[in-house]
Amino acid sequence: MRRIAIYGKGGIGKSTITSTLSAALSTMGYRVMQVGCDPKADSTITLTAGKTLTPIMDYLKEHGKCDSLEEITVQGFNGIVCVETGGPTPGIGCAGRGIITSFNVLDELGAYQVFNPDFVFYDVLGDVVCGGFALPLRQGYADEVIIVTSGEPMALFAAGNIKKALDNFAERDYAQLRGLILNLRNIEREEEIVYDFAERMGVPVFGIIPRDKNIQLYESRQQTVIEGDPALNISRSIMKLAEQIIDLGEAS
Amino acid sequence: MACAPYSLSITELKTAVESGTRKLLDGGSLRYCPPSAGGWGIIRVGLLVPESIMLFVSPAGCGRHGAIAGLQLGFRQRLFFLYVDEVDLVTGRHLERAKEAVEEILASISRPRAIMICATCIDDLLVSDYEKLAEEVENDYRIPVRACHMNPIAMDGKKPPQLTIQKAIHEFIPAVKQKEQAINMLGSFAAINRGSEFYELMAGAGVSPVRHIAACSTFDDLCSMGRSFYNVLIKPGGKLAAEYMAKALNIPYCYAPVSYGLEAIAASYRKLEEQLGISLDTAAYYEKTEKAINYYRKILGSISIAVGENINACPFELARALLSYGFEVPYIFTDQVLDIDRENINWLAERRPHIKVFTNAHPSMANFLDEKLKVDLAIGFDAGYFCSGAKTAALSMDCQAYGFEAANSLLKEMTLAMNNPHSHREQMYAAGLVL
Amino acid sequence: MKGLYKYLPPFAPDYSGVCSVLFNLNGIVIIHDASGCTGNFTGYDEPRWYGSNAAIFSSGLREIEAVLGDDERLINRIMEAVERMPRNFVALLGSPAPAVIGTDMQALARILKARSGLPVLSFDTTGIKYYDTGASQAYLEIARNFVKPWNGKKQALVNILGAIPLDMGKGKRVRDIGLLLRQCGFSKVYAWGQNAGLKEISQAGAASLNLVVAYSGLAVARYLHEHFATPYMVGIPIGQGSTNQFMRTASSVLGLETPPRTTPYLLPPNTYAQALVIGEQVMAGSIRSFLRLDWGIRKVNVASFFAMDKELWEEGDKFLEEEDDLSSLCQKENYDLIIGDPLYENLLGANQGRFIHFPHVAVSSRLYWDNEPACVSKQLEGLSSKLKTPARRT
Repeated sequence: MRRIAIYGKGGIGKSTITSTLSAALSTMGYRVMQVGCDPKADSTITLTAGKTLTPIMDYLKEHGKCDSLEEITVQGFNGIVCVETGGPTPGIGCAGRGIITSFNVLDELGAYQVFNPDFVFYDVLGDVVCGGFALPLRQGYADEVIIVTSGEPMALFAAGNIKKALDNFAERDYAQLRGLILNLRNIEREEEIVYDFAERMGVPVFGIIPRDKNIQLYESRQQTVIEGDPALNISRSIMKLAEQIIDLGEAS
Repeated sequence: MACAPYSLSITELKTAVESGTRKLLDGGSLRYCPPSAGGWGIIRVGLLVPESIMLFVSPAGCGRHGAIAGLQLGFRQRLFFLYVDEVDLVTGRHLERAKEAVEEILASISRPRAIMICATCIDDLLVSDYEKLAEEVENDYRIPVRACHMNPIAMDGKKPPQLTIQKAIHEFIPAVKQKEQAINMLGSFAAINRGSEFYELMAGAGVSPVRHIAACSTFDDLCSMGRSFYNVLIKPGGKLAAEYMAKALNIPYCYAPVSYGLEAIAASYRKLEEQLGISLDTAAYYEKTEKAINYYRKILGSISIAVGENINACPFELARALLSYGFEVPYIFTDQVLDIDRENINWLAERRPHIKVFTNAHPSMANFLDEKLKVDLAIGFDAGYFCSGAKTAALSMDCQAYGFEAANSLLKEMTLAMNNPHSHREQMYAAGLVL
Repeated sequence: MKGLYKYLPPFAPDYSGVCSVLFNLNGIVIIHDASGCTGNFTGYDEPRWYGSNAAIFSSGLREIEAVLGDDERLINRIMEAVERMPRNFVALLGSPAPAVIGTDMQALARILKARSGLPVLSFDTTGIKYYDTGASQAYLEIARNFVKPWNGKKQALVNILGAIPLDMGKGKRVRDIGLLLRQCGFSKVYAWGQNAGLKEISQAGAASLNLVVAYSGLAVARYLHEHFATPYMVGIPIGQGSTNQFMRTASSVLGLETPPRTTPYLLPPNTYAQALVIGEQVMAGSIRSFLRLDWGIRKVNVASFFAMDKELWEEGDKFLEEEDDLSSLCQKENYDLIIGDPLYENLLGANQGRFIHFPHVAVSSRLYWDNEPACVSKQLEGLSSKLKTPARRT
């Protein structure tokens, strides 16, 4: 089982990329689980095949405790196991703490044993903002981290912060940073900027995702491009990225 | 295994204080909690509000010591607990649940005159708005409601819980424009002993009545404290309360502390004369107390005394008083040094440079009982615990001496402890101390 | 309403359970809290604290450290204590504040282990759960970390598991059980959480028998059974009937026989029709056996606010989640004999029969911990003397 946390600045396209990667890996025959770690609970929206997924925190709010994985998971496109942690009403409670509580529920119910996925993706809100949002990095959860970034300064700033957090955690045996995925925003000299940044950070850029309007098109139908049309250029580049992620595992 | 307990001589402490290191604990240590640690606790102080109830909102564990102390001391029936679980932490829904809890409580008891809602460390971290909650509940039920906080996590800040709770209990008092020639006493948990000359002196100067929250038997009595024209702060714990009342209720205050040394007592009276614009004839009381000191000094002999922090006094002032009475004070146990202690530390360092000052909370105190320190008498449960062979005078917060009567009652309590010693353990557990 | 407690005090929290198990093991134990949580344990959950030199500390957590996630200060404080006072291990416990900010106790433990070279145990205690879950976890951690492999012949050694003061009182009951086990042929009796140190615990694999005296000892008994094939029995010998059974079973493990010592004294038939025992599941179940074997009461239910194990569950038993659950149980069942902590009395309703006080430290703390009724073997002072004069007959 490979467990990968996807981090990056808010709005950079993490959920889209994560879901498309999940879809790509599932079409290659892998069992995939995707855990959205964001109070907005919309990470897996293009994977659930129209089924209703109750975020874990919503379920707990309603019922106090959860005794069954069926209540909080949906098997969507190609059997991908979708989970959303959810979170509190904005302005009260603690969203970071919500991730901790949700992960405890998944552990208690033996989710990883029951679904036995080959890949688990944690799609984590924004930057590492507090202890709760760093939870996927801890021992026992993700082993690898991938950061999604563009060439925009704020996205790179966020990526740098995530790297810093990982360096701070070095003594703790937390997850390892694998590299960057560049989600192109078509700004000037974007690739050069990001490669330069990656070199300074000492991590590889192992995938570039071009801008493509088909992403939005299929998203509006609550699908990933892989599900929508695997023959598209954009679908093919993501399949290639998925292969690279598989190779990363085999290389280590 | 053994390691010497951390201590400073009073001279070293003087230097540390002068150089700005006011904390006794050396550089952020773990904290030892001896059995003698603790005091009244937030819940007990909060319930000083007459005819009130308290809803304590927290994870189950937080309220345990307060509740057991409540059972021991008889205030459990005015105390209600709402337990916060993990889902509450995340969603913050316990604030809504607190409203439901108040509804259910009010349906099951006779209507209280006031409600205190108490939050803990976790709600500090979650920045939950308990003041707003209190306002909403007050509007729903037309009962005065205030929020208070048992949040030791804020202990080192400007609003530590032991100060904010004293403020909170006085926040029920409405502002009154028309003032009377009456005063309020702030800072202590008990009203000044009826036997103190203070009442006589005040009445003689036309100041009456002397009010204190613990002497109020009804909520209306508490409200009448708003009519007093002046507040006398006698212990530092009431500082935020005094500041609040000065601002919100237009009642100015002065600090005229409880003291045990004759000169310090006289100084507090002089301050009151100045601030209240009255004249107090204290000479006779001074002389009488001087005689009493000589009398008790003869009865007790030249005993050695360890002074603790868990007492109704500032430890350095008490040590100074005891030395001036003619006793010896080889050891002091305390965790903190306040600005007001400086003068007494300097005085002690000049006269008895070798007094050892131990820190109750220092981790090395876990091995302290191996030290087998010997003194005749310990004042305070902490000093009594660490000097295990000594007889103990509690000098507790449960009753409040003031003025020259403070010296007299101290000496009486010391004599009683020397002549009729009680089991330290039993006495201490019966006191219901809460950390 | 859920979570609203009007009568009972909050029960001993999870961190108290952990501390209690570790109390006598000569480690440095740190509750990561501002001091109030530690004060709960030292002042209200641990009768042995007074006069002990156990190194159990508060981390002195303050708001600014919590908000900034400044774990380095905590690590430095602990390292300072480790260097100052050599002890066997370090244990790091959570409390509500670190639970909110999500402090990673396991990661801190790994760092501390690397820096100190000592074994470091960590516990995600939160103050939300009760002592029994904490104690259960602590027993398991001790076994995982300190019990040495054992492939040799089993010895006349028995471990008593679950014997912390929060359930068993200050020690008299455990000593009494130890005396019985010695009579059964066990030369080594090690009560984890009471007299056993790490050296004794390390030999646990050699035990022929493990005796579970509280729920908190169950998980570790199963662990030891799995790893060392050591059988375990559950229960406290209360009264004659149970004691005879207990001694027979314990002796048989060593291939010995113990003749029954005395015959049970039976109450006149139908003195009580149905009884309820409220308390920790193993103790309550043991009192149930006593009521059945010695007093002939057929219907005895157990109810508990604390964790209950399926293996020990009988029909009619009830897990109590709220104060209201106890009140409604009593209203529904009309018990004519109820045994439990004195503080439950307010919840039993007016129509109940006799209520017998059997204090539980995890509930009533220091209120009764100096006068616990003896209950092991024939020494039934507290319980039986009160039972001999039934309040009413049905």
